[in-house]
Amino acid sequence: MLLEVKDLTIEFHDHDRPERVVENVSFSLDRGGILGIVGESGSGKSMTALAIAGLLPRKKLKKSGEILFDGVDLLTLERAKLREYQGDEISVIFQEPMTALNPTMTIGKQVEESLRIHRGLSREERKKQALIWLDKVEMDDPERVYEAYPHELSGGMRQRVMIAAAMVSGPELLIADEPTTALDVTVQAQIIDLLLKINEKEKVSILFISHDLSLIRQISHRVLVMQNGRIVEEGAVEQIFDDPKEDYTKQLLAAIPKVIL
Amino acid sequence: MRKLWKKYDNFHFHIGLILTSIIMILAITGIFYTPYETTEMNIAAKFARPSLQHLMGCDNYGRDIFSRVMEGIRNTFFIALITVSIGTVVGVLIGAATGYFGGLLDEILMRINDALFAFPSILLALVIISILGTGTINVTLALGIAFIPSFARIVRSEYKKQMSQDYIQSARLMGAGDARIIFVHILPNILPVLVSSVMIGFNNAVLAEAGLSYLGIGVQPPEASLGRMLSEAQSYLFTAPWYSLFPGLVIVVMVLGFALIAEGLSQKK
Amino acid sequence: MSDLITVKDLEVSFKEKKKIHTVLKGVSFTLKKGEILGLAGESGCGKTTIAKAILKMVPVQSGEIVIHDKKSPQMVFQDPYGSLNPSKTISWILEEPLKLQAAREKDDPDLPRTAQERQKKVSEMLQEVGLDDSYLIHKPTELSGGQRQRICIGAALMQEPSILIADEPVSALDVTIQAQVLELMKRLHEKKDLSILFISHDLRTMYHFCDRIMVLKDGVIVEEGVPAKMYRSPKHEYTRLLLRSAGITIDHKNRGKKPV
Repeated sequence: MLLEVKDLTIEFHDHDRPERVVENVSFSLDRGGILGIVGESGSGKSMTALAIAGLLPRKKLKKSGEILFDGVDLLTLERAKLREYQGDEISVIFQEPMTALNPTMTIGKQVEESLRIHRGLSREERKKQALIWLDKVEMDDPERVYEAYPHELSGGMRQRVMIAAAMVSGPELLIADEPTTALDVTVQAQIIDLLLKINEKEKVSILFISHDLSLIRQISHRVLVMQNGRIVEEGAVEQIFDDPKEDYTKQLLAAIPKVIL
Repeated sequence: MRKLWKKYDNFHFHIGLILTSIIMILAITGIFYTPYETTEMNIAAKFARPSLQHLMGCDNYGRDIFSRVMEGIRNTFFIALITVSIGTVVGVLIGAATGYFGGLLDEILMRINDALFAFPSILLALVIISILGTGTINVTLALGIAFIPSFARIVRSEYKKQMSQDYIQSARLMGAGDARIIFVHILPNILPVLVSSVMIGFNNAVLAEAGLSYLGIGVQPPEASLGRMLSEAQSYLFTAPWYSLFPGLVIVVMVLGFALIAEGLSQKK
Repeated sequence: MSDLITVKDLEVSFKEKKKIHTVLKGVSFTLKKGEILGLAGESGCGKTTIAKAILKMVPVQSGEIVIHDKKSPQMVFQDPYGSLNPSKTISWILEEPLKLQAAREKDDPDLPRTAQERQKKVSEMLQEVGLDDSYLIHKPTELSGGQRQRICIGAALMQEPSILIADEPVSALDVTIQAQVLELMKRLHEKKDLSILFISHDLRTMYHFCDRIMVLKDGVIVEEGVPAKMYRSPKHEYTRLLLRSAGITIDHKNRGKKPV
């Protein structure tokens, strides 16, 4: 068991009335597993992911429950200790590949960033690792990409760079928050394939957040359906898609246009 | 008023509104009533200290400073108001046209604007006054013209921002003309920004008027204006400190009031 | 069926940084009366440019576009957040097209001239798009994405156009909301005899929604046909790639039975 979330509740206190965005969420993720969290906007899926990544703001927010990563509770960990996990053991890739990369830094620098922070490798070592990963995410001509700036790359290539940057430190857990939403359909399919390959080769566990059931179906081993901050249904991907138990899951599935050829 | 108070429920706006209300009451009352005639000289009361008879004391001619401050606020306020109105109206027209149509018109008008913008408004006003001559009306006009570039620039950039929104395309498809899109569709969307820049512009106008009158080219004696009073008071800074203190204080309160309102408006909730 | 829009050898190019960038390279098609024509493709393929060219929002280099209808086509945009004026109420947004139409066609006796007549029409349209009068006083910012898109559709239909161009109208919405908005569009299409040019990247959505689909790649229409047939035996490699990316692959065992 790599990740175990127990009774996670997140409440915002920045308005007059506290707002519960995540309520009593419990689930676990095995080593090497891919867990998909599916839900519509406002379902709390991204909040859950941010909480695990330790990226929630500390102020005006009340969190309770436990997030056990390798047995360590990330929720109560001090900030300095948490930093040791962030970007090293736990990496995140975001939805918007256009803004997730710093436009003034070369791709190489950004891919190496976590090595520089966590490993203290020499410049040559770092570059070697970065090039290996640029190659692993199937970039043509890694040497050229290494020197390039983000604006020279297409959306799909940037998302590959993000994956390389997230994977270069050899994390145990990769959190992907709607990583393909901003991309074209054909590119989406390529990124999904890439993530599946990486999962298999590197044995990294993936927490895949999306509103798109067909993507979730293509990538996940297990699926968590969320609505209004709560888990509605959880199960293996075949069970959720072929034999959904809850009404909301059925509704979601019914909303996908069926194509019978 | 109560509605506004509720809508912008923040500290800045409330304090600003209170300060501005005090100033406004003084200005409006000053039109109908002042405790003493503003030009009435009373040699016996020359440099009288603040007292119950003369709340803010008397000046070197024995004129009641409180009455003159009331008149000064009125003059300064109206000059600032008209200045900002000229700046806003012309600035919106130029800014909207350049931001909306773009192209060559935009290039030409904006380059002229940039050139004007490079001068401080006071300096620009001085140049215009040197052409038009001194006097209240000319000063107002000069300040108004000097304020146009900054408004035009703000309005233009707001229009440019709105132009990328689809609702404008949609209005065009439904057959709305350019004028209608500019004034009916887009203008309300830039009001929040416009209102706060009007508030800040108003402050600059108050200070600019005070500055020009201080230099002796604004409101002409014996008419009172806050800036002119300050200029007259400086010779008596030590013998009658209240003479400079009160007009100065009123300017500060006036400017602070509007600045706080502008800040409050931009914060919204 | 008569033709509503005829596009012939349409070419559009933009100048960008002194380089000429040709977006459409000779596109020809017709939109027939009462049909929903799908235009499928990915970003940068020129599908939005086709819409803009039809609506005269971009200059056309060569080719011709003929609209065989007196009323100009209307459009529903992708981003329901930018396509409604944020400072206006829903009531105003729906009434504006009527005001503009009345001002333009002064001689038409059927058009609503008074505020009351217009308000009646506005209420009817709100009902039509599945909302009620309680929304009149709201501003767009107070509505959800799906509700906004309903208002956008309503506003586009106020002048009773025969042609509606919908540019990715549901891709910014949640799946369950997508289905509802599509259903609404289908209903209005049938009820008002509306012809729709439906632009999308999602072949799944288009399968049920469109009568005919054109696949656009790099400014060229590479394939055109009826969905059922095209999906079963796509001719062009790119169509096949799009179908595969959408998870639509033929399962020979369960052919015609199980959804893919």
